[in-house]
Amino acid sequence: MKIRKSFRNLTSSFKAPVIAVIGGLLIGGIIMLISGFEPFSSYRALFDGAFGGKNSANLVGTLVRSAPIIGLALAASISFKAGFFNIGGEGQMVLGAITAAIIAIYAPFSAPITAVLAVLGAITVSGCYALIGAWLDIRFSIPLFISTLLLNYPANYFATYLANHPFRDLTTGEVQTQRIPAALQIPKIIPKTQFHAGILIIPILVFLAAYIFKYTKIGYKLRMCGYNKNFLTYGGVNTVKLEYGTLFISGALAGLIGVLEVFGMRYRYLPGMLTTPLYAWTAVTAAILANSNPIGVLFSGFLLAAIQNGGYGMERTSEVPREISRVIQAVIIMIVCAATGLKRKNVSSRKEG
Amino acid sequence: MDNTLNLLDPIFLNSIFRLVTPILLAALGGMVCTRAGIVNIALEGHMIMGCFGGVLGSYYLKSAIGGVLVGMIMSMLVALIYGILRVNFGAEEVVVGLAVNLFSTSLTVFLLRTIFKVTGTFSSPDLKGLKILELPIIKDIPIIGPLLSGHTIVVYFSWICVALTYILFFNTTLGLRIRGVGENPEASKTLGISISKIHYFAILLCGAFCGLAGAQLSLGNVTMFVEEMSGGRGWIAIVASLLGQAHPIGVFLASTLFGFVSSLSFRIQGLAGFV
Amino acid sequence: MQNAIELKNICKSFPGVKANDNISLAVKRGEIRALVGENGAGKTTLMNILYGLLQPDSGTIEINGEKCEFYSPMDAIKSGLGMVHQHFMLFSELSVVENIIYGMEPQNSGFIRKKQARNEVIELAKEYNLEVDPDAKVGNLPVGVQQRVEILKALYRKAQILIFDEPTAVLTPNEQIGFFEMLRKLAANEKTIIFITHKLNEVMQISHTISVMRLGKITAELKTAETNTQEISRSMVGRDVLFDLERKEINSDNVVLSVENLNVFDKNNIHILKDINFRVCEGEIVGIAGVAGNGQDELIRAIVGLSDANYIFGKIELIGSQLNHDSIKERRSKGLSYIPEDRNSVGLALQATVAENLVLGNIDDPEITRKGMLIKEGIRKFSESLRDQYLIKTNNIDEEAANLSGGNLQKVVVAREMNHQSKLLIAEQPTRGVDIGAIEHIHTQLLDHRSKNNAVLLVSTELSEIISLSDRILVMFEGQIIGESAHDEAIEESIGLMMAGVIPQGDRSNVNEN
Repeated sequence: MKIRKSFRNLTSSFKAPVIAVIGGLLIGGIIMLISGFEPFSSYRALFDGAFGGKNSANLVGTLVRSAPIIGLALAASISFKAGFFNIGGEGQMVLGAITAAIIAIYAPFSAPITAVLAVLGAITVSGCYALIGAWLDIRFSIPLFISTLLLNYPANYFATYLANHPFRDLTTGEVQTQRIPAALQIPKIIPKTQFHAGILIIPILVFLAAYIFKYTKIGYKLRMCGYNKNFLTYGGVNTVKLEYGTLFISGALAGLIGVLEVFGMRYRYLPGMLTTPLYAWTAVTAAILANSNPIGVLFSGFLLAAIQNGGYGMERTSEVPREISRVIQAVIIMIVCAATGLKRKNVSSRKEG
Repeated sequence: MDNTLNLLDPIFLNSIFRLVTPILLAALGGMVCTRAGIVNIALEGHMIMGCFGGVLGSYYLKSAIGGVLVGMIMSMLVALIYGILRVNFGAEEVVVGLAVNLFSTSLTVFLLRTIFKVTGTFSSPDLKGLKILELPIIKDIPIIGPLLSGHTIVVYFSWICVALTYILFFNTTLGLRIRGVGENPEASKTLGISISKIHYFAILLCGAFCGLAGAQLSLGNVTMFVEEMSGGRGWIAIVASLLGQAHPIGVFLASTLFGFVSSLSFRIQGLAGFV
Repeated sequence: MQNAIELKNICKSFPGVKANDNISLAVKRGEIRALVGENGAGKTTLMNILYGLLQPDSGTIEINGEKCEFYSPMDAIKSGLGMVHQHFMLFSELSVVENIIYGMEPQNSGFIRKKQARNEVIELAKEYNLEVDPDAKVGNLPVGVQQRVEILKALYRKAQILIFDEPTAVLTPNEQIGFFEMLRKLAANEKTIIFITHKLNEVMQISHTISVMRLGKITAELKTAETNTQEISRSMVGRDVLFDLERKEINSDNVVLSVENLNVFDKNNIHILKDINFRVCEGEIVGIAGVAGNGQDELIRAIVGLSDANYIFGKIELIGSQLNHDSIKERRSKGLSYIPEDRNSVGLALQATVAENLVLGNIDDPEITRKGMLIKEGIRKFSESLRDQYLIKTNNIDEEAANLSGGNLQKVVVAREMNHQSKLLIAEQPTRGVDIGAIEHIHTQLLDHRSKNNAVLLVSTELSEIISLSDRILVMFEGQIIGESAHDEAIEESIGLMMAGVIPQGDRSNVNEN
């Protein structure tokens, strides 16, 4: 009885996302068909691009791509779960990345100290940047989703300015910073791929967050805050502090993901390296798809990374523009929204009775 | 060229309303939704559809006005999707808004590559831009002339739209019902007003306004389509609508302020380039 | 004469409840019919069916002898019905005229004929003697005037039958007199009136006939002239209401809560509380009576620490220690518990489990958490003991709170707050929206708390609740405490007068001595 109930809970929490993914692929197929592409072979190419390749090279590629998506989705989920809609992960990540890059290149210390400084600096800057949104919300009641979203723009402009002017690598023609010292570059653990050791930290963070939410006092407070902030205030919890704390952690985590991308992938900061792949937006999708559940984010983030990575493969072999994967992603969110909206409608009509 | 900041330079004056118009039109759309009780953050997505539709229509119909109409239709189609999700499915409006934005930006890039076979930018001599119309008499007045005259028909129409939305809100039954539904949907329902219909009207009107805004961007300000060319104007429009307290006059003033500031920043950037 | 309304065999069930069980009701034209019953008796459901907001499972509605089927309020309005809801269905941002014409505006191809609309409203107001400023923004009007706007709205729609849902709950006794006057005039004008209430003195004053409901059924049909309150209340609750609950005699001078010269300016800098002085001692229940919106909310929020006011002057002390700058947590740990008025948006997290709702105030206890970790077994034991002690009906403490009924949800709040055995318990509308059994249980708990030498500050708009529970009663009016009366001398009439701002002779000095 108990097992059956928990199984039912499990399947019901998976039902909406599964329908959404199938629906997204279906509508993506229809769009391809209308545009004159053959959907079945295109999707085969997408599947191959996501999981296939020589020695499963594409699967490793998908895993590598999923790392920042899952990390940022986790950052978003932490704030979503507590009822704070921080969608400024992009700006927070970018500031973390540029801060870490500058410290790594210019700090006159030994490699281990520099590494620690870079990480601390990055998460401080990113966390504090997220605090601006919290402050605007608390002080002026400006909705968090608007402030954090708009704060993405100045963060990007500022980071681009830094990479373009004071910290530009003048030896190359590109707008980018210098390379970070080799001692700070995170080693690759699968040869001939981009899979670096830093990626392993992501699942650890995911399980840590899941554990905190379920088994700790602060996790209890965050969940209650997400359900009803007034309830928590009334119970004597300082929700202002909680909002600042949550936003700081969420922002700091986004900053850490930026550090991983600099230290593990590109070894320098170049404008667009984090924004062009739409990591942050994909992460918001992943968080919504997983209903802000940390473990769920592991699956949804991987899935969306697979669709995106597959999109590149599909573009190479069947010439379907890879943007179709983003269209599919958008349709997935729409279906999830529709499903949760319908559920809420049903619940409220039942309540009215 | 003069290196000082001359705010009375006719070229600068003329640029102000060119930059105001897309923000103003989108903000009017956002305002109608706000009044009806919808926080519509999909303006950016509607606008990019308008941009693309404008270019698409202009290219194939060989007419700028045709382009504007196609732009409005494409934007309204996206608005329809938003409406179905928001009204019929009761979806969370912020998340749906984000989804519609992602959908529109990605779809326009996808279509750019499948229809026009280019990436990044599409421009062509066959693309008809909107004509610049001079206002008689006004065009010869110093300062006022370059400021108000020498714009596309969409710019002039945007001013009329401010008046039209004012009349809509404060002189028509529909407007009264929109305001009522936004303030107290429960009460409206008991008085026999269909909230869904009012919401659909607001969402589609918003789509039309944003489509117009997008078409002005791709056929008025320039004559080309560039990926993500709406460039955050949809978000600025939301802020303008909030700042203008969802009142047509307020929205007009707020949008004008934002447009003025952005034309000023272009101006300063331009000067910096010469120094 | 033909009946204006005739309901025949109306049945309506909700999951688990038979809200209306084979109800038949007939009202003549020009009659004022009172529909009385306790909370949850099914009055509102019945009226919602009559007004088209709900559809009956079976049964028929006849208006003026014609059979009608109402699928929406619009259908009901077309048949000449109008409803004045308990929570007004008004647009506070719109003007009086706009509110009244909304949905049936005089128009010329979509354009509102503003002048005509305004004149129509003025004339209508004159005809029924309902004075309003047609251009005022409704949000700026006092509640009594807002109610007039609601009535005009119904009359503008040519309503012949008016339904009033608890119309006096928001009115001062003075406004009530005017309101009753108006009802009589409307009835004299051949309007039919149904008046939902649970206040028996009003019923006796205004109605011609009375229908009493209990547990979804009509239990009595009475002529007002031929009955008395005892008979009505017997039909309402199935037996005589016991007003006198057993109470232990306690005479203690140990002050638990003391409020001195409290002045509060709210976030709009309005002087919302003026020179509030009172004390609550051990073993004492102090009731605060008053019409809703006379500063009770602000007073409680200032004591509890939830206030969003700009300035709070004066001294609030709990067992001799000043609270003014303490956080809510500090206040709670000094010995304060609070049952809030709004349980759904403040008192509970409905999506959380019952257990999670119960442990909120005890989250720092060593049985519940240790070193930042939740102790599952401790939480389970704690919640189950509360569940059993306070008779919370739930299959499983890990059930989502939203699944519980209103009465059980209130018990969750009461259990959590009472369990602390705090020196001071503040109970705000503790029995609102709760069934009779639960009301009795909660009242007993409050008295039990008192008998353990604790203090209780009770805020309620139910005068009978205040009178039957309190040792002393303070009456609030426009941000001031304007009168006080002890348990044994409490007379509903004099308190009612004070609630309307009429200060009894010689009582003033009494207040200040406290």
